[in-house]
Amino acid sequence: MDPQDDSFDFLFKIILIGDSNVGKTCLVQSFKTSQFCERQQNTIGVDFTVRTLSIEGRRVKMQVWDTAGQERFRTITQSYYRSAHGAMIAYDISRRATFDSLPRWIHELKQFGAANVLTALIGNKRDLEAEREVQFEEACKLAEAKGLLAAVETSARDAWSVEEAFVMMARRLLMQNDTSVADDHTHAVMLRSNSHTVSLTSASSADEKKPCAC
Amino acid sequence: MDSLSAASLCPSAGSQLSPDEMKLLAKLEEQNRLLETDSKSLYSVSGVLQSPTSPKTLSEDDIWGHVIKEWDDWSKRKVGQIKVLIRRGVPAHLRPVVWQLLCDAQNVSVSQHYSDLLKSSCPAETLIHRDLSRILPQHQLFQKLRDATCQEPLLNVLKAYAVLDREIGYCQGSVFIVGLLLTQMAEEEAFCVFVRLMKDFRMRELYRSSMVELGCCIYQFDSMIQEQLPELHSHFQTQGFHTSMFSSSWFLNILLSSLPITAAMRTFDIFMCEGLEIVFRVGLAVLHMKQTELIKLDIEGMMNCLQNLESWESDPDGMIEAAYQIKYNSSRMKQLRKEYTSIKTKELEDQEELNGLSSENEHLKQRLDLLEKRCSEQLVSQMKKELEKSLRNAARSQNTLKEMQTNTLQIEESSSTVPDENSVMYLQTELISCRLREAEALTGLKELKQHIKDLVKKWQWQQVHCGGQQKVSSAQNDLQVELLSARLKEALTQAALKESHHKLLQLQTEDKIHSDKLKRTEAHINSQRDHLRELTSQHQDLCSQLQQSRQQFSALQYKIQILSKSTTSFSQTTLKPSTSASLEHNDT
Repeated sequence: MDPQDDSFDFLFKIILIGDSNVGKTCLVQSFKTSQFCERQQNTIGVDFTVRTLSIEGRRVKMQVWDTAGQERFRTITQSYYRSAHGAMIAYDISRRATFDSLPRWIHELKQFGAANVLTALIGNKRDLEAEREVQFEEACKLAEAKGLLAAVETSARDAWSVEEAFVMMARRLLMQNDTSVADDHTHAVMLRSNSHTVSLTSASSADEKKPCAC
Repeated sequence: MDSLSAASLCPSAGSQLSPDEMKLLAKLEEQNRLLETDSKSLYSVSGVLQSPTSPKTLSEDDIWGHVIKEWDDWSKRKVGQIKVLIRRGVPAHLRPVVWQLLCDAQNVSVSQHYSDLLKSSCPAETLIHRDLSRILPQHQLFQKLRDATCQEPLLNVLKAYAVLDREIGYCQGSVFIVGLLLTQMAEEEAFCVFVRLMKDFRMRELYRSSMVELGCCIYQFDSMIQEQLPELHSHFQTQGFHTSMFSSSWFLNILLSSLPITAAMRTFDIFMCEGLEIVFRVGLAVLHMKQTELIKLDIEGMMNCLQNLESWESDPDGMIEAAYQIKYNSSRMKQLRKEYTSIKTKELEDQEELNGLSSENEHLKQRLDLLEKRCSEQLVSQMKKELEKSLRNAARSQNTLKEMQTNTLQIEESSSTVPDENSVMYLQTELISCRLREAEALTGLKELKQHIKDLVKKWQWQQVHCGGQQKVSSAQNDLQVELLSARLKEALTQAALKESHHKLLQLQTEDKIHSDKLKRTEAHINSQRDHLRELTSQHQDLCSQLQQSRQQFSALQYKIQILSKSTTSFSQTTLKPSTSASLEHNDT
């Protein structure tokens, strides 16, 4: 183990779920190394990645559990739900079916996860705009209807909003655990909650991202 | 472990370069050791190896050649020897044949349908396509298949199996197994071997959708770690590192995705002969070997360490040997399986109960909703009824109010027709004065009558007195009598006068009443007359109307007559006389 990574103030377990081939492992890779692997081997069972973020002077260790998407692996992956603090349910914006199965994943999370698990919807493959089959507003609506934290669109290929999505999770989890951390309005995150104005000041992608209307 | 690795140095080093004798000696030593660890082996390999030819000239290939040639015999009677040979490793160029023999691939009944299977489509096909396009190209297994054209056989075999076995379909781990098979043999052969592996090697159970078999394997493996590597197991637990996190893919891939290719091949050789046991053995051997390293690591480090088993590459023989140093107790495994099954059954029961409860909960919620809805509906309908009722009440009270108003109006009207107070007063005083007059008259009458009585008494007394004084003044007496009678007459006349005066008054009142009546009758007559006049005018109107109608009628009759005449004349000209006659008759 890297001795530099040893110290941390908070450890959050994030489970990354969603249909097969929506790019879960690529998202994790992008988060970890900011690199995209065109041909990512499929995950058998479960895999995980750790990265320590620094948020307002606190070292937040994010342990991201990357699960196999194929349905039959669910009996194996379900056992990881319970210990997760946060969940990211990924879908592919260019494949409608992956969005349609979100309610099933949400249900699964309710059934096997902790009661207060923080959940966000991640619409990946935002770079495939031409093949888009799912509108961002739909994801926002779903997130609101199901009482989820947020809906975010990302592109693991372009490392676009991936970092922000994870930072958003980390920040929100910190807020739950440490009241001294304020919600960050300057960060380019799309929060569902009406009480938080969404401001997109991140220079890299502010013009590209649409705020979650919900 | 240390002694094991020291011992393994000898045969592995010898097998590379030493002369034939050394090689054979080393092999025999190794076999003996392996046999000692394998209680199931019944035969001595050394005898077999020495039997056909002299031991000095016997090469590995010769032995395998012999085994392959007489496979039926060996597979029936010399299973132990086959096991020993396979644990030593199948020569690379013989692998295709040996693997097919080991799983009796030639006799797979579905092989003839392979081309048909490829023609059909299956729902998993798109998923297979996607998976193949992203499989890690640098994985040693797929170096040959990196080309898109070379991926075709892989796709075909996976698809054909998914079509053949709809229940299992395509499972993501299987791509490594099929990939490995395709490095050794042609597409259709690989398919046959894969079918066998699925059917007869617990693979089908492993891939089954519920993955209970995988869960069982993981449970057994976890128990083995706990029993044989307790220190490591407790480290796993403190780190929250569950056995399933690293071993799921070990079982599903037969370690193919984790081990370096040579070690993977050797493991697979043994798997083809002895089944999943080798995965437990190699897995535990890996953990045993890396124990000291793992105990220092956190969860992430351990995951990385166990996913990357490159360090085995240099020494597959050592790995196999280490694997056979592991205690593997079949009866214990059976026991663990039973335990797992009971745990799972309990879990399933709990889950079912939970499901039942949650569905009941759902049901109750729905009912509650329904009841609430119904309740509110009832409330609404009740409110509606009440509203209607009150509306009706309001209407009724309005009606009564109207009635009252009309009544008031009527009363007001009637009160206006009634003579006013003054006239009533006047009439009352009139009545009183009438009565007074009557009483006056009556008292006057009484006085007069009393006066008459007095006079009569006086007169009688005078008559008695007059008897004695008759002589004195008979003439005076006569005059007095006359006077008295005259006065009497006068009184009588006055009384009669008063009576007639009274009668006159009565008659006057009667006359007044009658004249009133007369007046009313006259008014009535007048109204009747008016009515009569109206009626007469109406009558006259009607008469005039009648007159008009009669005129119109006569005009119409006249027209009809004209028409009938013209018809008659027309028919007389065109029809027979008889027909026209009948027509005339009809017209009339």
